[in-house]
Amino acid sequence: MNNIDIYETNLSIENSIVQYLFESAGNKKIIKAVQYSAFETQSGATIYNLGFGDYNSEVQSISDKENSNNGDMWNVFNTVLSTVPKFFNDNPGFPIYVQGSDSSDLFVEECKKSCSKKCSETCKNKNRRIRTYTYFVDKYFKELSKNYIFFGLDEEESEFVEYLPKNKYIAVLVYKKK
Amino acid sequence: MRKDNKTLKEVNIIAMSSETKEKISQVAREINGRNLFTEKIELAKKTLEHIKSLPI
Repeated sequence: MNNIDIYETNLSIENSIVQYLFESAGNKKIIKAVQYSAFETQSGATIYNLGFGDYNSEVQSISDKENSNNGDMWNVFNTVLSTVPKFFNDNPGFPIYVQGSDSSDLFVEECKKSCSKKCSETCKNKNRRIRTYTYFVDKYFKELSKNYIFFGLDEEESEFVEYLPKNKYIAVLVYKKK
Repeated sequence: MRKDNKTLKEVNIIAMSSETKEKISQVAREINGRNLFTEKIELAKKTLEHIKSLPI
């Protein structure tokens, strides 16, 4: 059995922001951040957005628009996922919301400017990030469902629906089972 | 009996070097407590604006 390699993380909690920093040691050394930031929905519910990106020393900030292709994708991906149970241990009762930065209409407009794919109607790059996350959830759904409850945001219905593997969603909401 | 191989595996943590720890501490001092994904929060709010209630 192959083990899963994850990077050691550095945790900080400030202003209702839970943050994990780690260094991706692939082709290059890149500092990456996972942030869980609380926000309120229209109905007044508090949920935590999962944000993830690369540290940019020039602007002293994190960008979630890069594709660093650093050769350690699974280590990085598994490191991000390893923060989920840690987050729920510290913040029981709050769900995590996951949506890709490439899921917005603005992304499509920006993509069109430099993309070589010549997509006609649907941008093939749109929602790629959420597809990566749902691929993992689908693969380990049975195991993950022992501890977590998943809902997918159905684009057509504009509603959260019961998560069913292989279905397409534009965002995912995750609860820790009590 | 068929063995289900799609189960979560054992985790090996790749420890940070002392140099990396120092670098991360410096970055943490720069960005701690700052919401780094304001655009994504706005996207989330916009996406969820018609959702009347959460499923749970």
